[in-house]
Amino acid sequence: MNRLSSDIKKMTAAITELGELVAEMLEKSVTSLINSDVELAEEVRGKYERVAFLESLIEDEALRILILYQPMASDMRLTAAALKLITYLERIGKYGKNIAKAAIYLKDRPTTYYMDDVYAMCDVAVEMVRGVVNAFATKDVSQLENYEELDDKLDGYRRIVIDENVSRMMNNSKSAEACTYYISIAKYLERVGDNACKIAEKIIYMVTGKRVEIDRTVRGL
Amino acid sequence: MVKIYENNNDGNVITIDSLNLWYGENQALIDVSMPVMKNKITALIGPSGCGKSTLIRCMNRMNDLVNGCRIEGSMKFRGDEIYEPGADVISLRKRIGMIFQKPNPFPMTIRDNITYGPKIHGVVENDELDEIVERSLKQAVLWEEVKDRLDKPAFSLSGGQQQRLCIARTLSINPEVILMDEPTSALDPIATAKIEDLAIELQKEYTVVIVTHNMQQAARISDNTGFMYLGKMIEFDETEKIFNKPSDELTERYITGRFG
Repeated sequence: MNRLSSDIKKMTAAITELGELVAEMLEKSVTSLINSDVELAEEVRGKYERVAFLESLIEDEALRILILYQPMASDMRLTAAALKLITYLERIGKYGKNIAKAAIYLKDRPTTYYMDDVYAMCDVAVEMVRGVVNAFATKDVSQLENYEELDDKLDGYRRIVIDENVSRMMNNSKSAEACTYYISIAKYLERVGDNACKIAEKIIYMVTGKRVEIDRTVRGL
Repeated sequence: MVKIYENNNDGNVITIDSLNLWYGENQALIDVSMPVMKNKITALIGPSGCGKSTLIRCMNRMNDLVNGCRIEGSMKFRGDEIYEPGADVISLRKRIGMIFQKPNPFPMTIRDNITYGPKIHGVVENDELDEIVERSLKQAVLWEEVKDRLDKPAFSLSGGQQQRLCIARTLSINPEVILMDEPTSALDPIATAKIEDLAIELQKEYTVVIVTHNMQQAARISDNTGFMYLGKMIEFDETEKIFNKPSDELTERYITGRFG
């Protein structure tokens, strides 16, 4: 294996680690929210440091590869995708951390709020993140075909969560603070979906060389 | 009948179709087909011995001088076969100029290097020759550096300047196509950048074909790229496509450095 191949392999391994890490953070943050598990939420918050570290590491590695080898074709597409992927993955990690923080806050503020819509959003968001991490590792983009649908689903749930919480706040001002958190969580999960769609677009480019646009809502299309 | 090379109008200056070439028993080009499009830069890449220099040398019949060289197939310049009996080789070489790997100025002054060709082609007036010298050197982006020492020997110039002088010498007789066979492989990065800028500038008025070992150079300056291997044209396409997502597995392996 030549040096470029071995450097690319190292960078790919770091991206996979980052992807799995943020997927795990998101999953655990949601679990901590559901179970009011502060310990688990703290664990998630602690993992963010590694996310930030990996983001810089991969960025340095990608820039080094560009400068030293001036990669072409699949190597070039992978390196270009890597530089974008880390930004989206870091954001997802940050949303996981934010949800964990919200879980800690909400623990002492029991709610009668019907949580099923938030849980359903969590499932979809985690599925999308796991899907892109897997597609990156296997270079199988067929599993990304339904991402526009999944993204629409998240948007729909977010709308419901916002509407419900707004009407609860109007009926009971004491619940306003907690309701604001639920709205934020819905917003985080919806943004996770947007970022997963952008990652999916980059992976499709990386594998096929074709530019596609999954998340058309971003540009208001 | 002497060919006048004016028959086509399809935007391709040179059209190569199923070209085969043998040096004695050894077949160096196998069924090569490709176009050279007008006012575009076409790059030929491939490992050593793949036939890219042989192919570019076919374009102005430089291989005629090689013993035992035999050519079959079609190579048309402006719609006329250049290997048919009666083809006008002198006119062909006037209209298709060539730049080589190592700068090869004549052992004369800078001015005489430029005027040599026009004089052979019948230009005698000093005013006209001066104009040609200035125009050619300006087009080759060398004028500012040498205008005060036109009567100094060409060998007093640096390697990069000598190469641009050779380009100016080619331009002095108004060619249509400029063939460049690894024109920067003997030059430092700064001289290389100047030649690359020059090639892009020349493309506005001329058609350029360049053989290069430097894939980044091909990617930087060319519009179309042909990848050759073992005498065959493996893939010919727009440069962006070749370096971004080539169709052929061999091309992919070559340009990503995973070859052999």
